[in-house]
Amino acid sequence: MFESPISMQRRKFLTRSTGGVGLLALAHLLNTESICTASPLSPKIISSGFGKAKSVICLFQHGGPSHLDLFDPKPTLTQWNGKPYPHGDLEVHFSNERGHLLASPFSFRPHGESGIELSTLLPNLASVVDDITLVRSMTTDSVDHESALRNFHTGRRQAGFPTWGSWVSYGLGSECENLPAYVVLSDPHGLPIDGGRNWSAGWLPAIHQGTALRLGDDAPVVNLNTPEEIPKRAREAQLEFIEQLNRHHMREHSENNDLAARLQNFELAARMQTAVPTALDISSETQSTQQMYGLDNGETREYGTRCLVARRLVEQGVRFVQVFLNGQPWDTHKDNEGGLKFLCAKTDQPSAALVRDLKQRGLLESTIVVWGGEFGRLPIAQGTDGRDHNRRGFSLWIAGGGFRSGYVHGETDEFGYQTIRDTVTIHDLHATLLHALGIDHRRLTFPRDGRPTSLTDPEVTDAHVIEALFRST
Amino acid sequence: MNLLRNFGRFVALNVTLLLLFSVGTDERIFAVEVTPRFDRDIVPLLKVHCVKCHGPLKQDGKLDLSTSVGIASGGESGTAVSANNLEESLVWLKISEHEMPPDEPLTLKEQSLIRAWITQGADGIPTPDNLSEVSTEHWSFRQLDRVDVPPVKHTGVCLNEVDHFLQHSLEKKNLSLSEEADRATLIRRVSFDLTGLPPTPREIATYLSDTSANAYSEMVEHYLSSPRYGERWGKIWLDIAGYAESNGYFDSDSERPIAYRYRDYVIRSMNADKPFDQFIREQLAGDELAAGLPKNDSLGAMIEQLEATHFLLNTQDGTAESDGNADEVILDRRAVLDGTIEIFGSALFGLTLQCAKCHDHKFESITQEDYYGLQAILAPAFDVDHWKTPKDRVIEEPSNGLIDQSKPRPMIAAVKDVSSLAPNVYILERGEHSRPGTKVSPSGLQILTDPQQPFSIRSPSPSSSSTGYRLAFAEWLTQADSKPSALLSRLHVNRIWQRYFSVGLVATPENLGVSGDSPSHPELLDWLASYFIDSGWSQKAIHRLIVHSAAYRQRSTLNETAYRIDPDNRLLWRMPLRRLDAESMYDAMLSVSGDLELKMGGPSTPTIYLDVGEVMVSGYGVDARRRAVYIQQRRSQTPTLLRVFDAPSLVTNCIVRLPSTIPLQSLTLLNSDFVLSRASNLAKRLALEAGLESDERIVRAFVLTLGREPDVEELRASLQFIRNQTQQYLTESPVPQRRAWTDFCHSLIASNAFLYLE
Repeated sequence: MFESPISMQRRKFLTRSTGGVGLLALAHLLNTESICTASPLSPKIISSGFGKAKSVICLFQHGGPSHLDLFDPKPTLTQWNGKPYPHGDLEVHFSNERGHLLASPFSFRPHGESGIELSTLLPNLASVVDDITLVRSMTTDSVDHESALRNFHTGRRQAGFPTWGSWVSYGLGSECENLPAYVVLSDPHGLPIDGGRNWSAGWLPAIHQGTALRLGDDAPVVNLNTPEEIPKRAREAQLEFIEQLNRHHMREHSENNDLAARLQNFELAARMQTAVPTALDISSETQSTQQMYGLDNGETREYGTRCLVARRLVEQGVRFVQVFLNGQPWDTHKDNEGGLKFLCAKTDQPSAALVRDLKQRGLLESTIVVWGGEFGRLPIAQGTDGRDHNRRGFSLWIAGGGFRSGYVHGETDEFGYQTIRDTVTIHDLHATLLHALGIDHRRLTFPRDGRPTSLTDPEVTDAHVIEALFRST
Repeated sequence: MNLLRNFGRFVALNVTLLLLFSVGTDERIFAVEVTPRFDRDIVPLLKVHCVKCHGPLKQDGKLDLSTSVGIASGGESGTAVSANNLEESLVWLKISEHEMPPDEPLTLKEQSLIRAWITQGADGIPTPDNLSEVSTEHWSFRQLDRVDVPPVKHTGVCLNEVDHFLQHSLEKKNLSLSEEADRATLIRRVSFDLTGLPPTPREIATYLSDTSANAYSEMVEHYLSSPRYGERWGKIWLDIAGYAESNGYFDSDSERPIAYRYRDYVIRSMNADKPFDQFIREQLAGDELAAGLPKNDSLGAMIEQLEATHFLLNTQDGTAESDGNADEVILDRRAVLDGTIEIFGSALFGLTLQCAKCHDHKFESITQEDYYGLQAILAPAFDVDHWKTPKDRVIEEPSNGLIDQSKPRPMIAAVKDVSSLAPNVYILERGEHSRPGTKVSPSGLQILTDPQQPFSIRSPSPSSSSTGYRLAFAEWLTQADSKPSALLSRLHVNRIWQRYFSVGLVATPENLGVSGDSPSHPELLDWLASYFIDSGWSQKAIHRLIVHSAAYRQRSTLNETAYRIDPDNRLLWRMPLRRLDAESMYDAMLSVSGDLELKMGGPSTPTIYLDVGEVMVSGYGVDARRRAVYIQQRRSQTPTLLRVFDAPSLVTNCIVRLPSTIPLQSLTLLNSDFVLSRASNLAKRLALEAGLESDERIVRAFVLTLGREPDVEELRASLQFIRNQTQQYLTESPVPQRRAWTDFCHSLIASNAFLYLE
């Protein structure tokens, strides 16, 4: 009724659209050069010419998991149990509760063809150990949780920078029309420490912010659902009316992209209403799949559900999935042993199932799974039975996405305090993960304050791609 | 920023439009269709690829490519750029032979631009003959000179001097300002711009029926004198200043329960049109200014000046929660100083000062000595060895001795020097506190300091124990006819301009340095900056000037010819169409539904984080219906509705918001409780105010929400929608009509005509 010829034309231009096609995709479509038309400061060619991974699932372990009790066996530490730490260079967070060396109560043994040693706490991970890369030489820049969290997620100790999921969304965009590119699956029991800042887009465009989906809730996205009291047909009629008003308004602004996008977004919003619940609905998964993730067991059900949903989202083309626990449970300042038993019982089976499931479905080549926390823990006791923070040496594992499987990278000293070989900083990790996604970390930039900014800021952090982590080398 | 904006739009809009551009694109046969302009096309290229080694800090080969004069002067190897002569332009030879930049060659497109720019006359580069007349200083660091208002051919379209500058540029392209918008559009525009609220039906009726010659001026004065003006423009300053009501930094994000006194100080100052230079001085050194006042006569002023110093506390501060080892505690304190300097940078200088923390600035003439010289100014009040946490800063409000013992004493969070003995401050190598280098003295930026107008320190008053460092800084920054005050004036008028026209005269309002954008109308910017200072730093004078210009009063509709020539509207051939910012949208919804509570000042309305993942305004009654500026600004808890519409969650500060267009906004408009309640209350309001006739109610609804009556088509469509929707609800609801009217109202406030300003 209000249709003017020019807005009809516009409508044809805009019939379909996605949640945000990323720069790399755009640059590719545009023969890699045309992004320059947007701004000379924006990336031109960001492809690293390597890396075929298309998505990331980060199983983030808030609090700093104890590498000494999970991933990094230290016979010397066992021998020295109860003795004072013999060197003078220990950086502790809570200096007034400093104790003596504390052996791991858990034993280690080799697994798989690779013979990688893991602790008895991780029997399930042990069954897929030949599919993972274990990095035993991680370091970070702070022993304070918040700063270290920000360093892990944004590459900076300071608050306010975009998280790496946002950078990936910005760089690669979404392959999926009806789901956000960057999805967060947080614990139904509460937010992780630092809350939404763990998935903030900082100053990248808001579309690259992580969207937190609440599992088991009728409305997994805030305001996703039409209020119950509004019948479907009434809402459809209303949407049509809004569209009429908006088309009428556009008559004199037919060239305006924002108005056109807004028109589109009402349609996309409607599509999300069905797409999101479908992606989260695990009832269509076979019983054996559900069992593999531990959905039949109270201890593993919740984490297993998040891991399974993560796989479903990746299947749908979501770029980046962050899976969180509430609070910072790995922060075992007291009762390190009990805390680790509890957490591994919850997470070990689902984490390993995710790797196995992705592999079975042929998705492990294109999906990177990262398991790790913001730092590790000290070889000495805090109080009698706890462990304090350690930024100078810790472990994390990566699976899929072209990473070298069944491989251990780097090493810490005889007590597991600091790295002595092949150190991987958080910035190196970022550069390497982007590399696996086909992104050159030096070129994935966004103009801010008149200068290009990046996730890794290599001039300051000296971030490098760790080539040894890839199969080809 | 304009580029950035478009870029953001691309991302939001996705690939479809871009595909259109990509058809037939082949980088090898890329041709430059437009004449490259120095400031728009060439400067950004040089900045990214060349200036690091050939710029203000390093001039490899004695070549400075950061300014037009530097380029014209060439380097030790010879002429850098020779107009129309590629063979004699070393810049071209080095670039085309891939000798420069050393790391990787420019893209073919970039090379094409440089090539086209040189072969078409090297726009923007002075010739060797007039080189001596051109200043070598970066444009924003210069003193303000008198600027003559340029002549125009069509004087009839100009209403004031602003228009002459704009029209002069437009006429060079055979363009012109557009004709004036209609009155209904104008009053909605002015009302939102000056007060952040929609015009009331009564205000609209008064203005539309006023046939006198000064009807427009009276309408403008009405809004300029409204207390709502201070709330609107106060919030803008609060963002610039990085105001928040929590400490941030750590997860606890502990609260700052009396920070609101600074917010109220800002709003009062805006409403009083306090001279901007004084406003700045109070925020930097209010305590030292107050020390010079006779106590009994000026108690009010003294209290106000103490409230003002909260500006220096705005940055994140986790020092009350630091629980780590001694090193970490110092780091957390240093982070406060660094945060404050970063806010100084964008809010007071328009420079990225933070880049000089670890090393001399790569693009700007800012050294590490400058950086730590500024920290030395703050050091007596923020002494890392004698630290005060935010809580320790809370003091009793000064009184005249008549204390009512029955009431709790009012408290202020204020900054004072911790002791009169200033701590030593050193340059920190690589920014690490464990590596102190040379000792520095408190000082302003060297590049802005004239020998005739030095940074001079004096005791604030004979009895004061304060060092006077901050007072010296405040005076240095705002001193008449100085370089710092010229920069400050340019910076602020540009920010004001940006709010009106979407894009600043400098498109990077947070960065006026060498690495920022060049002004689109440099003469106009300087003329405005002088006007601002000559008016006694009156912000209302600038608003009045802008709002009275033909540029501001012109229509926002498309002119296809002009659009082809200047698609980004940098020449301002029309008023840009603007989306309401988050607060204006929120306030406008409360206003049109009749729910808005106009109580001013006092403690903020808290927010809560709901299990469903949404941050909402908490509480009931009037406090829950106040303007957004009175919602608690907790860093970790920005209300979802505002956040979705681009309100920042403050980390440092926020100079510009980039309006985004994302599906979550549509979901929020369609389904959030807040919007649905407004729709329902608006429907009730219509029933009360507009009687039973559908036509009248619809007209009333349009006037309330869109500031105008519906046209014939809109009226017909609305009637039809309400009729059909009533049918839809017949079997679903006992009150089908009310539901239909609610849906109608809901549609209006979710529509683009409501969200955008024409």
